[in-house]
Amino acid sequence: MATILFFGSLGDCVDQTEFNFELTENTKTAQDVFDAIAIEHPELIDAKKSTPINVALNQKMAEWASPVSDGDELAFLPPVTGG
Amino acid sequence: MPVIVSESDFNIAEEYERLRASTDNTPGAIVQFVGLVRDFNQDGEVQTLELEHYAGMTEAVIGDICTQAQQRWNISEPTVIHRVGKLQPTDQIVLVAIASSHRADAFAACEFVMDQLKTNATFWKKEKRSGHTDDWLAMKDSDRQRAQRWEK
Repeated sequence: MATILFFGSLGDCVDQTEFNFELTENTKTAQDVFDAIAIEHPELIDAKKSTPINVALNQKMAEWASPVSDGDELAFLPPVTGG
Repeated sequence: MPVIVSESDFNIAEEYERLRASTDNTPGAIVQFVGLVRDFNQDGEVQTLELEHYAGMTEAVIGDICTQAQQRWNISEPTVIHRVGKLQPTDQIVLVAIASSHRADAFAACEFVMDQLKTNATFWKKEKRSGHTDDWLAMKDSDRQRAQRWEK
């Protein structure tokens, strides 16, 4: 089980911005997890086409190919707008 | 570590005194930058601004930005206060305060920290304007270009 977080505009594409996700043989990387969630929430696919999305694993910037394990916190981040 | 992410407002006079008293050596210069919520943008009047952030990661990223600033310039530990939650036009959003022996380092470090906050810290702004649906703001090219200056 991993904790999944969506921030900013990506939060509008999903029902909940934070939820638990059961990892399987088919969801081993951040990309796999995103793709699996996007099956239920196709707005995520459009969002990924229109804006660069970053991935954070356990609160550190990671890659789409980064492996995800049980207990990990995986976050999907659209471009930031602080300051 | 003077990095605060909070819904609460801040008092720049108190933060000035705190920074002035906390430096080991008497600073020759203190620079404070305060960002405010604009009451307009290119598409109309702003009613409220809502700031979301990634709790935990945000503080870590800001801490890293401050460390980078201290490595590049001769400055004391920066003060960074960034507000989150619902804000109104003219509200204070962000404070960056830098103490240094000389003004050049204080100005440069303050600008560096602000540019990095704009482009790397995990905040997202949602704007509510009269007659419009709520909009998540996009990163401005000008902010990206300003941050890229420091990569040279």
